[in-house]
Amino acid sequence: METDPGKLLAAIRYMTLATADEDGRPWASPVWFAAPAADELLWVSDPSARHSRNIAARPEVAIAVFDSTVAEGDAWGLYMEATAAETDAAAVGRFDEDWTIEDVTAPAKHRLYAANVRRWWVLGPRDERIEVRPG
Amino acid sequence: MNLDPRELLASIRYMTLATVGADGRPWASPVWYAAPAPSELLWVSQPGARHSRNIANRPEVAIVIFDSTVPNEDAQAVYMEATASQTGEGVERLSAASVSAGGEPWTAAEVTGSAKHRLYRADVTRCWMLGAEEERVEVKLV
Repeated sequence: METDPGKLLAAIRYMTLATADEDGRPWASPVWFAAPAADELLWVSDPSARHSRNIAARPEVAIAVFDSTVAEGDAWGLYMEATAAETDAAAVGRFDEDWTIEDVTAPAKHRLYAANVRRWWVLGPRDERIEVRPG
Repeated sequence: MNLDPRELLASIRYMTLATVGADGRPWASPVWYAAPAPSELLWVSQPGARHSRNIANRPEVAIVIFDSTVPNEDAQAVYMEATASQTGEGVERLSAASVSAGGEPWTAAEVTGSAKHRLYRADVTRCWMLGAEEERVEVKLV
């Protein structure tokens, strides 16, 4: 079983971002992302999107990366706790070489966001989460 | 644009459940589920799992169902707000959905008494899908 977060992050390009608003109400969003390092997830979002507004109010997020199409019992998943924020547009090249600084700077409608991941878990053989570290 | 959630609910077997802990910290869990109706999602979890403990503390959850393997341009997703709870009723509907998806049947004995799992349900209160400009569009569940 693959347990290296870096390798699992390379296998799937959509993460699910769990955020909460200032009242503590949760929200789940699929987000196209890149992971230049296992502790650095980058994505581009509209600051007015519900998850972006939640992050502005509460930077603590959780992230799951998994293949949603597999059959029951074949699941693997990477679970993460992270702190998220809008980040310096100059880093956009690490997200995707097709995106430019202008694409994530006013008056463009998107901004670059980064999650700093602090903890990682994978799903073990008995359906329990196992904490792992990047290799 | 097809704004009927049933096709995705039938083809994507894992949802992501977003819950919040007593400290306000969100948590994201992939969970195998069955949807007897678009407004009723059923799953089996251990009560000690982090998402189950969060639900016991705060039943408001968010759910997203999408194909995590498709390219960006073709993305469609079902977003939901729901109220989740442990339930003693519906294991036969979950079992039927599992079997029809090629999985194993579930019995009441596997989700009661000394069994380590319990049956959970989410009653969906609001639902959205993505429109032509990738904006969320609210979908009325009938």
